[in-house]
Amino acid sequence: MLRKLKTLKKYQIILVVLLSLFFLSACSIKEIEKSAFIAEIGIDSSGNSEKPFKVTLKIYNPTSSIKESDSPNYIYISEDGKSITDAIRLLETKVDKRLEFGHLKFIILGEESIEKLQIRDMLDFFSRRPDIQLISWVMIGRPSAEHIVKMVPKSETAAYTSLFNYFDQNANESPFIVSRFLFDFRRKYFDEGVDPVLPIVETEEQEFKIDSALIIGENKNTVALDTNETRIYDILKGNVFKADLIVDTENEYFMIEADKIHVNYQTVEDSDGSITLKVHINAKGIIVESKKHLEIDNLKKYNELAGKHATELTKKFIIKLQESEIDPIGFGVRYQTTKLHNHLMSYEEWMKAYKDADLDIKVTFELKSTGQLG
Amino acid sequence: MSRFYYYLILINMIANIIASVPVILIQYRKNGVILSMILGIIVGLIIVYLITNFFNSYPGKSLPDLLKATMPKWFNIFFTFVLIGVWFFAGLITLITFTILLIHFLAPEMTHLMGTLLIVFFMAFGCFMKADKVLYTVEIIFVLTLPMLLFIFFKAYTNEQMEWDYVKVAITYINTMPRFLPFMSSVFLFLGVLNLVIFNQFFTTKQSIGWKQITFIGILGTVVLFTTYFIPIGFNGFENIESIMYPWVSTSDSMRIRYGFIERVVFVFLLFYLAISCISLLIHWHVVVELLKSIFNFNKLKIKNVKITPFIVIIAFITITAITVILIDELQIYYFTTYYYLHFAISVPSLLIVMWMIKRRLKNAKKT
Amino acid sequence: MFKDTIEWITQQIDSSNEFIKKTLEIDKKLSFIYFINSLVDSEMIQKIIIKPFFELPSDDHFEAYLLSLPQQTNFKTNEDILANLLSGCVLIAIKDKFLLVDLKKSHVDQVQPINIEPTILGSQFSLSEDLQTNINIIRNYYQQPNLTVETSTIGKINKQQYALVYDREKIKKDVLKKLKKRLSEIDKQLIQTPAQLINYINNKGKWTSYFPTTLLTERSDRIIYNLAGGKIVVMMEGSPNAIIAPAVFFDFLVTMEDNYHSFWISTFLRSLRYVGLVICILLPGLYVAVSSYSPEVLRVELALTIAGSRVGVPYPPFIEVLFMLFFMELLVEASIRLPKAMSATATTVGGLILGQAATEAALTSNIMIIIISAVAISTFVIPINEMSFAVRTVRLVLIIFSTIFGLAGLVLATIGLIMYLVNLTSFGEPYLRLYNYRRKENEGTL
Repeated sequence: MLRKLKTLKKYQIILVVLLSLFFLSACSIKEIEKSAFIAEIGIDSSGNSEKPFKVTLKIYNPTSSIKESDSPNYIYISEDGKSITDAIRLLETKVDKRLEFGHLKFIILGEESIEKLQIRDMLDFFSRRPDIQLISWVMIGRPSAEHIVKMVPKSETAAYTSLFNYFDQNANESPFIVSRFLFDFRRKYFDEGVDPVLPIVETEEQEFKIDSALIIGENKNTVALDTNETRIYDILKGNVFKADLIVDTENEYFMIEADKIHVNYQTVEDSDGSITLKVHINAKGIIVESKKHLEIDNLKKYNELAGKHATELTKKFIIKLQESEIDPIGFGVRYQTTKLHNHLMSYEEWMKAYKDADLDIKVTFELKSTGQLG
Repeated sequence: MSRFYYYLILINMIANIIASVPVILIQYRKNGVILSMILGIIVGLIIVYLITNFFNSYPGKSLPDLLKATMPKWFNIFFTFVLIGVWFFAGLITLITFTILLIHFLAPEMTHLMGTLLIVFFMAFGCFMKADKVLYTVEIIFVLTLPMLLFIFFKAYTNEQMEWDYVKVAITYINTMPRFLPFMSSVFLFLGVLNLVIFNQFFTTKQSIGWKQITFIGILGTVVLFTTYFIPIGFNGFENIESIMYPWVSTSDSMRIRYGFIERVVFVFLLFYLAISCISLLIHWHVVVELLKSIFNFNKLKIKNVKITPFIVIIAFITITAITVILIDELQIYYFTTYYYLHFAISVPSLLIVMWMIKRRLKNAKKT
Repeated sequence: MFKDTIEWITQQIDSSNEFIKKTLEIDKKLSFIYFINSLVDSEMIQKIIIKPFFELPSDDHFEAYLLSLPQQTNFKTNEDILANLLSGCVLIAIKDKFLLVDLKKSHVDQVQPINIEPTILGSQFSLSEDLQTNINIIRNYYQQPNLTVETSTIGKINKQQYALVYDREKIKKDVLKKLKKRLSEIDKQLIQTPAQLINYINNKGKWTSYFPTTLLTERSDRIIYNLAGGKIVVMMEGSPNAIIAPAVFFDFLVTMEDNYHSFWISTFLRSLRYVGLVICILLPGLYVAVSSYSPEVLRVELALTIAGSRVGVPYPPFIEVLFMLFFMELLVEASIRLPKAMSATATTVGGLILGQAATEAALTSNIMIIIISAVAISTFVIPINEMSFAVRTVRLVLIIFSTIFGLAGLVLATIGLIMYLVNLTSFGEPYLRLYNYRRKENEGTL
């Protein structure tokens, strides 16, 4: 009897302690259907100097059965504010549900906002909040972020945003798309040796067109890259699965698809303080299209032709970067890794040396075959 | 060497990867961190060897037993109280640091007080288990969570977004002089072996420690230290990483499991870390309870034949935790942690001196 | 002397049409037999006692013959005679002596087929309800001289006979001592089955024993396997189930088939069972925690599906989960007692009502139905019933914690559960331990 009493008492005490925890509870159940999941956020400059930030949100509207509904369902809200947080507070009053940033995966900055607003402020908002994923994709919207956010292409299903497929490299493997995560953008922005590159998203006849990029240099020095240059940048950063090259010289006209591209870039400092930028690319591929008949014995010649052509293209690209004094590939950081930190040049000296640097670029191709035809 | 011994060391190492150690190391990244880490590994290994060797010569006996046999009573009580303080604050710091992290990311509406009390409530009852039961719990939770954590670390190393250039830039700062605080932080990773002061009761058969074991622990420590310092730098860049409050959480947020059930790695990381912090807390506060038992007799106070002392101890734990959480904010926790690491420079040598005295006295007693 | 004893016995039994007295008399031989006719085997009486009586030449021969019978039992007092008569002996009065011969007829000694723990490859017969038959089966399969059988009785009213069976070389002595001490401390009036016995020999008091620390089984191959591993088996008269003590957590998730299949297949099946256990305990709690507290943990598509399927459901997720679990438990409990004719109704009711109709009426969401079916199926993956009952209720505790505290609460409650399990002991053996590295000989016990 006594033993039962002892065990009884012990567990009564535990029960009381446990129940008393209920009084402390700030248990805030938020039901899943009372949350509005935000899919994309767009930031523009509103032209209003009092409230310079214009924030547009695209919110999912959940349907009870994904299979039955054929078109996706979104809600758009937009507001101006003194800062991004200010705008979001005002936006919270426009929707009946609570705004959830946990599923936000696309951050679209308007083209003008890069010039007119401080990128640092925008980055601060996104990095400081713990609920925004650092693996969100950042991109630039042309003509404005609002336009891109509100755009729903025809081929989109109700399951998820079609922009996913462009950047995920799951469905679309195009070499013209630069995909940039938020943490990557942040670390490149704050580092002096590298300048961040963001893709530019435009719309054309109800579909997205993503094939160019913008490099954001120091002091708002931005340089736009066109389609081919974007491809070269992607190749140099090793982000592509497949790249094509059209070789159109010496009476030959064929197109190569290269799928194993190995890039090696370095900075070499000579004894007199000048820099040589070395880029060596080694690509393996096959020929996929040709206007003329090809001989399989001439593969070596085709290799040389392709290599020469690619070297020229790359050289032109890097010269353009040097002249604009921006460094998206990261030669600056490479330079920093070559020596101990107290023997490095300062940032200004490096930029001067970078501008006048010599180039040592070599692209070699190893073509495996000429495809199915000869 | 029994695998539970390695658990004691490993838990301490892993539980500190995410806590305050990387913040301290990154603060000093341009100021002599790399040499401090190397020195820390060497000194840590020496400490591991000395302490394990000492306890191996008295299998099955814990430090309070040995103290009772050789030292005068006033010294015992004083020294045991100091040890109680050291271990209690170790557990408390892990608890509060981790609760702050957890609440930030997983449950922002919970107050700090409730988060800590929740964890303390569960662990406080566990601290009264016997040493072998504690070790079995540690083993089970370790086996359940370690594969996932290893997978995340592996993903971190092989991620294509990981820029090894930044790591190399960090290494170029190798020619700066070492500093004391990062050195003590690196040593702290190896101090899991100090838990042997109580857990030696469990190892009743004689163990052996030789070159192989020390090398193994050394390699483990180096890999852990390397991971905890360099991986955040690789993911977050070198220049601006000091403005990130919780480098490892930002790092794990930068990783993506593309085809997995849960896409953001942060949540998986935080939940498994919750489990590891809980068992780290369990080990530390178990040591506290056992040390208290060696001073006070727990069977004395009884109300209606129920042993009341465990409840007094639990209420004391809860009260001290509650007061600390209410009074302290994040910045003060950081300073508190730094002072805590620094104080080991005094307590570890004094512990070694006491052990040397015990050894000498026991040898003399055996001779006579 | 005869007359006194017989009078006393007749007074005690006091039922004239059951207590039979027969006189055997021919030539110079005279003998009386007394028995209770519902307890003895009349054919055996005729064959063993009556026929030889009429064939043997004299009383002395008959007495010598009776003394040589294997069924002859000794007795000391009148109470012994009475007890033996009540358990099916025949009292023979010859010359001046009483002799008792045990000719009990048992109607329940048929070996039954297995119905609780079926397997594909193992033996298909379980134990019977008669203790002697069971001991016979066990001894047949485990032919070692070390096998010790100790019989005794328990229960003041029904004096149920039970047997402790063990291999004296392999058991741990202190476990045996503990078990015997606990058995001797029981002073209940009526104990009928081993399941009842378990409650009284268990570790702690009524309020704190929750997870089973002994295994209840009806399979003879499992009993033999555990005897070879050094465990103690308690069998009782009147029940085909046997208690195996001590039992640790991993014993409950093992079927005998793991020994009959090849290594990889049995590893696969075992991991399947463990995964089922984890799903059964954690999945409802996970659903509640994720949909109430942290919907950002999941992928976008999944979160949208859950949010979409909960459109129109009038109450929060945890009430939904508890509601569906409650119905599932009702269904399981009722289906134990369904007569065979109605089992089809049960499936229809369960499937339709809990499935389609509830979703159509927006009382639950689609996802919830899937979760409940997954949980229901994985509950029955656990081979031993008592563990499955314990697990079902633990799941509720986890749901409560994840309702109040979210994902962190779920993880902490799981850690609390692991600590509780590690802290239990089964007759001195630690309940949850991954690997017994101190065991000197590594037998096949899992």
